[in-house]
Amino acid sequence: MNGITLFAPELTVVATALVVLLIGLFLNTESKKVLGYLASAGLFASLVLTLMNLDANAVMYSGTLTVDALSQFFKIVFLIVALLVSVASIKYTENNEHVEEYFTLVLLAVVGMMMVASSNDLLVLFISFELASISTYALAGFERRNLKSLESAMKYFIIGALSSALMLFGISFVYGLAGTTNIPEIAQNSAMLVSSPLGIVSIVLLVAGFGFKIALVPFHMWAPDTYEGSPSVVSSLLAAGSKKMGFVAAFKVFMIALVALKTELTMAFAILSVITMTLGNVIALSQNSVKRMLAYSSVAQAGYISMAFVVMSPMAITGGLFYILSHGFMKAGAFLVTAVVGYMILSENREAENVDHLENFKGLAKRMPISAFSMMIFVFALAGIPLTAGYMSKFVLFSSTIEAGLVWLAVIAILNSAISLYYYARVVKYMYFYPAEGERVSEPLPYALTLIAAVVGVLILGFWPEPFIQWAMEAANVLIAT
Amino acid sequence: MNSFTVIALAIFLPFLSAATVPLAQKILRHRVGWFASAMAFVSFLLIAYVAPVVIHGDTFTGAVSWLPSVGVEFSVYIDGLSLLIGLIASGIGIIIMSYSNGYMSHKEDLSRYYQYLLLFMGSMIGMVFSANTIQLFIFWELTSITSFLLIGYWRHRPLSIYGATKSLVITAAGGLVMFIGFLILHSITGTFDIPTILHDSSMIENIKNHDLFLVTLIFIFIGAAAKSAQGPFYIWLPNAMEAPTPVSAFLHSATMVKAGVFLIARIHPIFSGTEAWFILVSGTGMATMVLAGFLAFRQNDIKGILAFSTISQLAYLVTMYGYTTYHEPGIGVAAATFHLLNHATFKACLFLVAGIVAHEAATRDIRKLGGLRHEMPLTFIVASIGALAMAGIPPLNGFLSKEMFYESSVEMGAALGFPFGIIVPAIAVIGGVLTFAYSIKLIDGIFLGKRKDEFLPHHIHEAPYVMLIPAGLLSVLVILFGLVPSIPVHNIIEPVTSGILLETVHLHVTHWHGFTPAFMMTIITFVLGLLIYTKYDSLASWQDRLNASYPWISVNYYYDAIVNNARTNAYRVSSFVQPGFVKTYINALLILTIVLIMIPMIALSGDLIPQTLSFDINPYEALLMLLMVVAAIAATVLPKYIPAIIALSSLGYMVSLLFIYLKAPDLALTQILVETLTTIIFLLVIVRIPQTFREKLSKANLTRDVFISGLVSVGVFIVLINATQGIVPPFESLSHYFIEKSVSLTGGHNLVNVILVDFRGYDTLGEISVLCLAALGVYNLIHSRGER
Repeated sequence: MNGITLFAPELTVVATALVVLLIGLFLNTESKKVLGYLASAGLFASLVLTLMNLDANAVMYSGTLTVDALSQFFKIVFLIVALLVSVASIKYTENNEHVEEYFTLVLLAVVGMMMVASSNDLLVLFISFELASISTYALAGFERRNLKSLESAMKYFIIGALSSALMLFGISFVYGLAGTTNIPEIAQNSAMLVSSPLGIVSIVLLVAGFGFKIALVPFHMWAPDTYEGSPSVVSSLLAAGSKKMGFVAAFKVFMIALVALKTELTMAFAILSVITMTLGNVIALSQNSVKRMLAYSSVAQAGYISMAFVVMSPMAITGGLFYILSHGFMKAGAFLVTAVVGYMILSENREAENVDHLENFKGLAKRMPISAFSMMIFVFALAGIPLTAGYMSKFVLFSSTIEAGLVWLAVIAILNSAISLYYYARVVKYMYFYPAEGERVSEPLPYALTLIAAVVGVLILGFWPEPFIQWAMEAANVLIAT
Repeated sequence: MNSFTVIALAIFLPFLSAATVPLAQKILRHRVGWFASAMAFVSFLLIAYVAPVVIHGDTFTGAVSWLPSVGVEFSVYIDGLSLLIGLIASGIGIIIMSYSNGYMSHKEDLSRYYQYLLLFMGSMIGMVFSANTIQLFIFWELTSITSFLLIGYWRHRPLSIYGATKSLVITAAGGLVMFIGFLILHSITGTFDIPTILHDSSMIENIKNHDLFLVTLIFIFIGAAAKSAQGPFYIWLPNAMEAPTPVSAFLHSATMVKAGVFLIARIHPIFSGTEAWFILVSGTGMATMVLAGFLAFRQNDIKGILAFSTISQLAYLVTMYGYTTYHEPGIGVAAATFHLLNHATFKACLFLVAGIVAHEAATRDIRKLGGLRHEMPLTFIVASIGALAMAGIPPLNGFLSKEMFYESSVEMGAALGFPFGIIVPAIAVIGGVLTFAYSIKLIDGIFLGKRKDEFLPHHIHEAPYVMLIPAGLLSVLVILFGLVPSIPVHNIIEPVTSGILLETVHLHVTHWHGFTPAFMMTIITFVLGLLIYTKYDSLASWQDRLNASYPWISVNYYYDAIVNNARTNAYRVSSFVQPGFVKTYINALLILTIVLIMIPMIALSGDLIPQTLSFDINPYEALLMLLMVVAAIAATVLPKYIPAIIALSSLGYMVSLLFIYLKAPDLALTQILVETLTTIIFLLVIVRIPQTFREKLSKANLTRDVFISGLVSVGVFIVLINATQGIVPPFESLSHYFIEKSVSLTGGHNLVNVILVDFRGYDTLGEISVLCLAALGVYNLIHSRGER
C-alpha cells in the first residue's frame, strides 16, 4: 500500500479531473465557477500530499515509477505553477460554457507532468509526456472563436507530433541497443550505446524530442507563436510548467540513463545552449507583443538552464534545478500579468485585438498598480537583478560554470543577460514612465491573489534561497548518485 | 552595541525609512524631506559611531550566516575606505535631502522622490561596507537601479527617459561583467570574502600568477569604469544630468560615481604592483581626464560642464590609484583618497549652486547667464569657493590634493624613466589646465560680466536659506579642509591609505613645500589655464565643427547606433528565422535533426554503411518491395486525388502482404483493416474538396522539397541499415518465454490468445474500456448532431 500513498498526489489530481468533468455536466454556465475552486482545491490537496512525502524514496510498480527528491522537487514546481494558473483561470473562464473541459485538461496536463517527473521507464515517460502534450494542445486552442489561438494550437500540435515521433524513434534505438526501457538498467547496459554510432543517433533524436518541450533552438519555433496565440493563462502553464517537464525528462534520460555518453552530450548542449540563449535574447529585443517577448525570453532562459547539462557538476545541476523553480514563479507570474492586462483591455473593448501589445502596458503603474509592480518584479527577476529569484539562480549556475573552468560560457551567458536587461527595462519603462491612457482598473481578486503569491515566491527565493538551494542540492544528488 | 549591529542598522535604516516615507508624508505633507534628512542624519551618526575603531588603525569584520550552501554570508567590513565613503554617502545625503526641501516643488510626487533617494543611500552604504564580492555586487546593482529611477524621475521628459535607460544599460551591464570577474576571482581563491583575500599575501601572490589574472582584472575594471564613467563608458553621465539637480549632486558627482573608484581602491592590494594595473587603470584614467576636460568646453548647460568636469575629476582619482610600481604599489593612493574627499565637497557644492541658479534664473544655459553677482552675492561667494577649489587655488582643499597629484605623477614618471618621466607629469598638467579653464568659465559665465537682460527674468532673488545653507556648509568644509588639512588627513585619509597599502602610513600635508617640481607644475597650470581660457570659445566652436563633420568620433554615435538599431536589426533576424509558417519550422527541424545525426555518424564510424552487409533477400520480397517503390512514386506524381489515394492504399496493402510473408498474419490482418478504413475515410473526405491537385509550386520550392525529402529518407535509410546490421541484441527475444510458459501457466495453446487474455489481461481490459468510451463518444456525437 506504500505505493498508493506515494502515488496519492497524482491520484488526487486524476480524481479531481474526473469529478470536475462529471459535475460540469450538471451545472449551468453561471454556476460553473465552482469548478475552478474545485480544481484549485484538488491541486492544493495534491500539493499538501506531495509535501508530506518530501523525503520519500521508493521505486514502485515493477520499477516503472520512482519517488525521490528529484521527482518531488519537480512535482512541487508543477503543482505550484498549476495552482497559480488554475486560480487565475477562475476569472479567465468566467461565463464560459466549457469550464469543465478547461479545468479537466489543465489537471490532466499536470498529471502528465507529474508522472514524467516520477517516471523510471522510458515508456512511462513517453506516455506521460504525451498525456501532458495532448492536453496542452487542446488548451492552446481553447478560444475556439479566436483564429490566433487556433493557429497557435495547430502549430503546436503539428510540431509536437513530429517531435514525439522523433523522440519515440530515439527511445526505440535506446531500447534496441540497451535491451531495456528501464532508466537505471539502461545506465548499466550502456556498453552497447557507447560502442555504436547509433548511440549518438538516439541522443540526437531524444534531444529533438525534449528540445521541443524545452524550446531549445532550433526546436523552439513553435513556442513564440503558441505562447502568443494561446490564452495567457495557458501560455503561463506552457512556459512555466510543461517546459519544465522537458527538463525533468532530459535530466532523467541524459544524466541517468545516457550518462555514459557524457562527452558527446556536453558538446551538443554547449552549442545548443549558446545558440539558444543568444537567439532568444536577440529576437526578444525586437518584439512589441509582450507575450512574444516573454516567449523568446523563455527560450533564452532555457539556454541558461541547459548550461547545467554542459557543466554537469553537482553545483551546476543544483543551479539548474533552482533556476527551474525560480523560473516557474517568474514566468508564470509574467504571463499572468499579460492575462490581467488582456482582461483589462477586453473589458473596455470587446473587439480589441493584440491585447498584449506593449502599448497596452503604458502607464500600467497608474491603472493597475498591483499588476505593474508584480510585472516589474518578474521582469527584473528574469533579467537577473539582485535580490530576486532570477539573480540567485544565475549566481549559483554561473559560478558553478566558472568553477568548472568554462569561463567563456559564463561570459556569453552574462553578456546575454546584459542584452536581456534592455528589453526587460523597456517593459518597466512603458509601465512606469509613460502616462496612463485610461482609468484606474481594479484587478479581479483571483488574478491579484496569484500575482501576489508569485511575487512573494520570487522575493523569498531572492532574499533567502538557502533552504531551497539545499533542497535542489538533494534533488541534484539523485542525478549524481546514480 | 557592537560594530556589526551598528553598521547593519546604518545600512537597513534607509531602506526601512524609505518604506515609511508615504506614511510620513501623510503627517508632514510637503515637509516630508526633513524626515528623510533626519534618517540620513541617523545613518551618519551610526557610521560615525564606529569611526574610532578605524581611526585607531584597526579594521572590523562581522558576519551572519546567509547562504552557507554557496559560501556567501551577510558580512560587514569596516576599514578606512568603507568608512570614508560611508560617511560621504550619508553626510552628503543629509545636505542633499535638506536642500531638496527648497528645490523640489510641492506639487511633485515627493514621497517617490525621497523613497528613491533613501533607497539609493542605503544601497550605497551597503555597498561600501560589504565584506564579500557577492553582497557588494548586489548593492552595486541596487545603486544602478535607484540611479535609473532617479534619472527618470521626471517621466514626462523623453530625454530623461533616454538618460535613465542609457545609464542603466551601461552601469548595470558593466556590473554584470564585473560579476563574472568576481566569480573568476572566487574560482581562483575559493572565497568570496574580500578581507580574507586582502590579508593573505600568499593568496594574492597566487592570483597574480594565475592564468586568468588579466581576465579577472579586466572584467572587474570594466565594471568599475562603467560605474565611474571612465573610458568609453563616460557617455551615460552627461545624459544623467536630466535628473533633478540635487540628485545629480548626490549620485552623479559625490557618491554613486565614486563606487567605481571605491572598487578600484578596494581591489588595489590584490592587483596593483603589476604592469597591467598601471596600463589599464592609469591609462584609462589619463585618457579620460584629458578628453573629458576638453569636452567640457563645448557644454552650454552648467550641469553639462559639471558632468564632464566630474568625469575628468574621477579620472584624476583613477589615474592616481593606477600609479604603481613593483616596489611601491601605491604611489598615488594617499593623493587619490584625499582628492576623493575634496572632490565630493566642492563638486556637490557646485551642483547645488547650479540648482540654485536654475531655480532663480530659470535657465542653466551659460550663454544666457551672466552678471548675477549683484543679485545673488551669497551664492556667488559659495560658488566661487567651490570653483576655485576645483581649479586648485590655494589655500582651498582642491589645491592640496592637486599638488599631491602632481607630486605622485612626478614620482611615477621618475619610476618609469625616460620618456615617461616627462609624459606622465605633462598629462597631469594638461588635466589641471583644462580643469582650471572650465572652473573659471563657470564663475565668469554665471556671475561676472554683463547681465543679459533679454534672457533673464527682471528680478532675480537670492536663494532661500533652505537651499543656500547646505551649499554654504559644503563651502565651509572646502575652506576648513584647505586651511587645516590635518583634520581629514589624520582622521580618515591615513587610515584609508594604510588600509589600501596594508602598512601604517603617516602623511604630512602642507601648503608650502619649497620650489618642488609640483610647485612649478602648479604655476604652469595657472599660466596656461588663463591662456587657454582666452581661447575658450574658439576651442568650443572648433569642437562643434569637428563633431558636426565627423559624427563617428563620438562614442555616443556608436551607442545610439547600436541601441537604437538593436531593435531593427533584431527584427531582421527575427523575420528571417521565424517567418511563421509551419512548413519552414518542420523543414528546419528535419534538416537539423538529420544533419545532427549524420555529422557524428560520419565522424565516428568513418563510413556510413557497414562494410559487410548480410542480407538474405528472397526474389518475392524483392519484387514486392519494387512494387511498393512504384506505388510510392505513383502516389506523388499522379495528377488527381483519387488515383493518388489508390496508389497510396495499394502501398499499404503491399505492406500487409509483406507481413504475411514474414509470418505475421495477425499484424497483416490489422494492417488490411486499418488500410481499408483509412482509404474509405480518405475518399469520403476528398470528394468534398476541390479537385485541383497541383498547387503552383515554384521550381525553387520544388527543388527544396525534393531535397529535404531526399535528405530525410537517405538519413533514415542509413540509420536503419546501421541499426539492422552489425548489432547483436544483448537480450533474448520475448517469444521464448511465452512459448515456454503458455501451457504450463495458462493451459492455452494459442499464443496470441493467451497473451491477450492472460499475460496481458489488464491491458486488454483497458483497451476494451477505451473502445467502450470511444463508442459512447461516437454515439454522443451522432446523437447531439440532431440537436444543433
